Amino acid sequence: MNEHTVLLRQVHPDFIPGGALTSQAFFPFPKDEGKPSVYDGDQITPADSHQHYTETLGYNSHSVWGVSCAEVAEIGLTSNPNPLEDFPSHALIDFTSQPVKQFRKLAKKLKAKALARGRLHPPE
Amino acid sequence: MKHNFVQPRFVGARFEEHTLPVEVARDLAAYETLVVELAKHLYRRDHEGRQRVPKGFDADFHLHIERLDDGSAKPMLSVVTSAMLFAGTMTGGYFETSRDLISECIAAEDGQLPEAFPRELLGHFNQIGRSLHPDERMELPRAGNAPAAALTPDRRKRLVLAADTVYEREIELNGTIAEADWEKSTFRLRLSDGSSMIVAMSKMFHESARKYGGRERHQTVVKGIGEFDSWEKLQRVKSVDSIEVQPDFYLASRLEAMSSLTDGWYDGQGVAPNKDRLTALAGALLGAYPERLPLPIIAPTLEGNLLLEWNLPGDPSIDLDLQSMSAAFHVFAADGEEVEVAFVLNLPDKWKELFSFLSKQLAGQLA
Repeated sequence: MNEHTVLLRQVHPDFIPGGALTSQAFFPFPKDEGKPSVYDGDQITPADSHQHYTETLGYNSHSVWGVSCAEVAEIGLTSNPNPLEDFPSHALIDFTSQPVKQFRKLAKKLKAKALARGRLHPPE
Repeated sequence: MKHNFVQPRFVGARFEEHTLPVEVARDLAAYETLVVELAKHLYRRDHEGRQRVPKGFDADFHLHIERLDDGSAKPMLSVVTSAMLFAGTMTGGYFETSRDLISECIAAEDGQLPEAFPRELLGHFNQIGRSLHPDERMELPRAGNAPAAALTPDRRKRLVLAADTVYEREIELNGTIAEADWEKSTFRLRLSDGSSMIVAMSKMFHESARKYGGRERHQTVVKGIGEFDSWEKLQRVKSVDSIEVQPDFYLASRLEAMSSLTDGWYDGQGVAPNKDRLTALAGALLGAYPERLPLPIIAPTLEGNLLLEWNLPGDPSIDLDLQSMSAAFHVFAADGEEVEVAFVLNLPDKWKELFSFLSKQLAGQLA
């Protein structure tokens, strides 16, 4: 991973009603402990990440959106590889350096970056 | 006295419990009407020069649902008559011939309808079988050992179109009231694809039409009968059974979607929003959310709360805690600052306060 690496985020259908992306897509969940999961876009394509997430892992994903490592750093967050067994492209965006109260604002900033890049899968 | 006349068989998921939805009774009543009309036609055909059937020809012909047998749903239709009419002794078997001819008509190939079946009576299939869903059929026995005649929605349509340019089926149209004609007591319903339909309304609906006409956030649902051409294009709303207005339709549908979530909605995680709190929220928002304000996008959070986010510069949003009804507003302001305001929405006045605040904030973002 480097600053140009695009981190791929799977967006649950309830977080993009009617195709309108919400910041909830980038908001850390309780189980994330402040580190939401993403795919390392240098290791896997948006389409393949969607297939892995929905078919191999069996989860729901409406679409794939992305932010670069540089954009993550720009808003004061970090990103790290976190390869798992059978899931080598797993990575994390780390919110833990920021107070929980800031999470919504940070998620909105990530959403804005992702919207500027456009939907990665399915292609718009 | 009574005797068995015909036993249709209804096939489809709705009939697997060997019950018959009450709406099917309309189809059976329409079938009875066609049996009578066709029997009269057959009588006149056999008695040239007679314009009318004998007095009392059909006065004693009434079909009754005697029982419901298994095998999907098989209502036994019996004729209940006075003794004199029993078994067609007075009517020369015309009703029985009519019954068999209807089955042959349904079973016939396109373009090969029985010659004895008059084209002008095909319009009765606008009513017979109207309640059938796409995956359902009504089977009618045929004379001899011939396979049963299957009336499906598609077969019904083709029978009607064999003699007419349009056929009828039930409709449910969703749209907005574009304009009203008080003299004709109609309104123009604008549908989501941009097309419009003229809909008749009762005087009782005039007040609603005045109130919601031209307001796009309030959806009107029209149920009734529509006329379609052979390309399935709706040509006309023929009759209206009900008209209902759903105020703030988008907000209502999103809150309904939130209400349908169950625990574990997010791939096994995620608390479902409390339904009672959602009902309270709907009561506060629907019909009260200011028309001049843009609508928020509504998403659930994993803790069972809601995010309201506006697609406007600065990304205004409200994190709404349903349990405490506390709302945390945030926006990135144009001057680089951020605006954060908390509200506790435990009284109607507090909602007014929030709407007033939003009017100023969101107007600022729109400017």
